[in-house]
Amino acid sequence: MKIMLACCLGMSTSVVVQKMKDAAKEQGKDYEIWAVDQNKIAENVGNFDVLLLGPQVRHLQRKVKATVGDSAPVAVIDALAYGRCNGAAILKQAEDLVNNG
Amino acid sequence: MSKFSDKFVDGMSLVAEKVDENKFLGAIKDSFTIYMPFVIVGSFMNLFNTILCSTTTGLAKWVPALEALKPIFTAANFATLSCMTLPIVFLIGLKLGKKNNVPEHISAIMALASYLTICPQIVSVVVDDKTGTASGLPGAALGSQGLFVGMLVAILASQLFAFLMTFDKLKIKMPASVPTAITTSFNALIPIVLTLLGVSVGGYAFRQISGQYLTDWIYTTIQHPLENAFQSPAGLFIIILVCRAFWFLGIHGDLIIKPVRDPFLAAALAANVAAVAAGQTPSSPITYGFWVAFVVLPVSLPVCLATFLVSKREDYRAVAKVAIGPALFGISEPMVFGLPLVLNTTMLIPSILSVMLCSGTALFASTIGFMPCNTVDVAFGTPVLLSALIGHGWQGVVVQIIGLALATLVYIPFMIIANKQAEAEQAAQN
Repeated sequence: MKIMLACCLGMSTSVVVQKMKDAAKEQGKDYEIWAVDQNKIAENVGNFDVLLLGPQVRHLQRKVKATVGDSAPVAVIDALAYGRCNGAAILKQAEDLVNNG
Repeated sequence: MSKFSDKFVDGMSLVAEKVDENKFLGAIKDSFTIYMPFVIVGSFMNLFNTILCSTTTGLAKWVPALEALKPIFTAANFATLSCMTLPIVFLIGLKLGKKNNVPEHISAIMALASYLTICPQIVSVVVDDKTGTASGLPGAALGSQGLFVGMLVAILASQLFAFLMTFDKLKIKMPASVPTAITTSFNALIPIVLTLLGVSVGGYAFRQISGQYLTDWIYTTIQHPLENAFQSPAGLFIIILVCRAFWFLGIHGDLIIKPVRDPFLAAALAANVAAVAAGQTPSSPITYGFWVAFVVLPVSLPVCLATFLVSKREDYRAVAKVAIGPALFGISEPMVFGLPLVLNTTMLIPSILSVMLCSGTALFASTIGFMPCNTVDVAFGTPVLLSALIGHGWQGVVVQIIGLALATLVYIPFMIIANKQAEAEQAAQN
């Protein structure tokens, strides 16, 4: 599964990405997880199975959904899980989106 | 949550969405983001002059030969920092061209050429005590003094050009056998002429009526007073308040204020560097380096410290442990969303006060002349202490430590309140 995260500059999401990678490894899952700046979403469309937005850029959700279209599900990361860097919870959020979307 | 706060949250989210969608603000924001590395490099060229080539503050004190390198760094500094208006105007034209769906490179050059038509194309010179003029572009038009009028003309010219491009009758038709690139250039010919002449006529008319150049008029009547307001404590606190209000709702406040904030910060740094180059004392305290060291850092780090000092809440302490690493680099999201500070009315007052206190201390230290104004740009993500050292020297480090200590103190009473709230909740559950 290819999971892309986006926020402003991709800095704080990169902290979360590491935790998600750790969680995926623990569960024995070979996922590709990375973070980008919100400006770089358009050029990455088609490369990911699910896009998660940092809660601090949730006001971009409508625009991003239009950009991504039907190619992948888009959601805002649960704020508390994001803040507490709960990699497993965010990983599950991503998996649920792909499996149910 | 009450109805009022629901409406408030919705309203602020809508503002955030509108700011993001506004193509002019977006183009300005993108342009400054693209140009940022050059601002950093330009300011470092100035730093090299100070620490290497200066015979009073640099290595040249002992190795005089190094002074000969000065023109090299000065030229590189001039080409990036002191000429920033030209690339910014170009980039705004480029970004708008893309958004307007017209040939973007033509739109970029359109913006630049239009700006140059309203700039003075002569400079005043004094030779043998006689004043006269010579052909050339004045530094004020190239550098940060031209930023506002430059951004304005870039937007006007790009929009006018894009508007004219929508008329099919203005397109010079080419036979189908002509390559597309050439057709595109010829299609744009008449809109280019009309845009360029339109702006040029406007600039000329303004000069005839008012007796001065539009560049000078906008600088003295709009940009300069705004810069002064931005550099004042009231200006700083208002922009912090707006930024924090968005963060309180969990929206990236810095991202929202960026298009308004960044031109001021860039202009201030350029003014400081120019002052140093001219042998004067720089006088614009609030730059991006200031923002990184004294506005970004007190967001999360003091909360972590106050939590470790007095919080009895296990959940707070657990978050602080996760958040302190990123907090050292000015990344505050784990704290903002983890504690959370978002919609946390107990922590609202200290979250605003701590940032104002830290930045206010720094502004005060600059005003009384203890801390020198920033001339070296500091990138976001530079850790605590180092960010102050690079931008403001050892004095900056002292001020940052004092500012962060004050910010931590502000949180302590509220952390104790949070302890009591948790106790009360616990008691209610039992």
